[in-house]
Amino acid sequence: MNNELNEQISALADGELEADPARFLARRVSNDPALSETWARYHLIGNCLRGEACPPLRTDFSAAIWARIDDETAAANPRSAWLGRALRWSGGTAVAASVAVAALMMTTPAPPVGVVSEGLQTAQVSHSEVKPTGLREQDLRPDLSRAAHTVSATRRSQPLMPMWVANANGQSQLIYLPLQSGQNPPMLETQPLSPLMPAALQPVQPPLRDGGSR
Amino acid sequence: MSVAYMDASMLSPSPLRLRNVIAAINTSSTTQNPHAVVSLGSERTDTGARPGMVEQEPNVDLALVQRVQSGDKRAFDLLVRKYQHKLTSVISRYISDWAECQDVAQESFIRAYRALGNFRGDAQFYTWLYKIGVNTAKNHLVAKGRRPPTDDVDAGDAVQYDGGVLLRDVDTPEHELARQEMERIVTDTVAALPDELRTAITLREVDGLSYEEISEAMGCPIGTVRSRIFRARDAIDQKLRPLMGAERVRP
Repeated sequence: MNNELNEQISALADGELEADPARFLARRVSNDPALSETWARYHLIGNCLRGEACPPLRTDFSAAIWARIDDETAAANPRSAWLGRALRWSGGTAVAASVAVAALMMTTPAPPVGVVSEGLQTAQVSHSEVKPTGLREQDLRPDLSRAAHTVSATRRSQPLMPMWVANANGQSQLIYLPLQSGQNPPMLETQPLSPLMPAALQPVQPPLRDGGSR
Repeated sequence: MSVAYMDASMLSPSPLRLRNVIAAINTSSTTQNPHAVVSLGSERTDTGARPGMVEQEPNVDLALVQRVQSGDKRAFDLLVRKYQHKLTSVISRYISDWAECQDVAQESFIRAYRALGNFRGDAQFYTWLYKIGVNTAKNHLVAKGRRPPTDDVDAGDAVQYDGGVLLRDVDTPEHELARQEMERIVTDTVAALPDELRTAITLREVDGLSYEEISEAMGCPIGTVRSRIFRARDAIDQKLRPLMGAERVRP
């Protein structure tokens, strides 16, 4: 296989290959250091036979030429070099941003149960009749002081009752106990419950509108 | 049919050992068939080829140049590796110091690369490269405060010119020894080759014949010519390879 390839290089050096194979082989040789060396030695043999021999060149003769060409290209086009670096940097940043957005979209934490159903059910009742209610705006805001402690366990269908108890160290500690049926929660006793939705989600009448209706 | 070949008068000024090799070819061939002698003339073009000879090799150069011009700069590396020894040998006629000579040769290739976009193929690539090399060498001498030689050698003659004359006069014995060793290995290996391989490689490299012309001269198919030339090159390459990369560094 190697002999066959070298024979083709030999023919290429003599200009005796057809155009297409010559183009293909030249591309291959130019990208393969070992084949490039073979190509160079075949021409050196011809030089020696024609009396054009010279002492061996530096081993990095060709590499040094390319190093100079690359350096001069970069020095002559600092803007393009800077632009290239900037494009590479911005490209990397864009990829990172895309990944971050995709990750956020896939892992957006679920809002509290009531909030999700609020959006859904508000859409369902958007054209329904608005009932007058005595709720104020602050009644609709989430009560973080209570719910944040037991988010996963808190459901509006099962309200909790705060209670101070003494722990093993004799210190006071606030805990929440589920309410028994028929027992009113100490802070939610005024909320009118609807059979369709939690009380906090019922449409509210804007307090600044005249007449109290839309 | 065996066709003998005799054309020693038009050999480039090659070493005596090489002349002996060619003479041996001629002698043995003439002995085998004294009536079948082919004379191919003695005139050469500016690229060293005879008139009427199929100049296929420059087409390779032109194809590589066009590839570089179309953006494939690695193709230029093949041109560098093809002509690096030849051009450095030419420059050594102007600059005796071997390290300096290689610097100027590298500079010449870099200038050629920069100017390659303007190369239209009106001249052969090597002729164009040769002029760049000579001008770079002269500019180098002027920049160093030295006077460049006035007896210029024409680009065509430079191909056949014995490139090491000045070098041998003033360069270090180490480099001259390395050059002589390389030359000796090549000529000895060629001399030891079988007749058909030796004739094929000589007709190709010394006389610049195409495969078709060699096949007519040797009376064998072109594929056989191609195989013989490769086998000869491979045999020489086996001996030459250990010398490569063994540049003697001047202390």
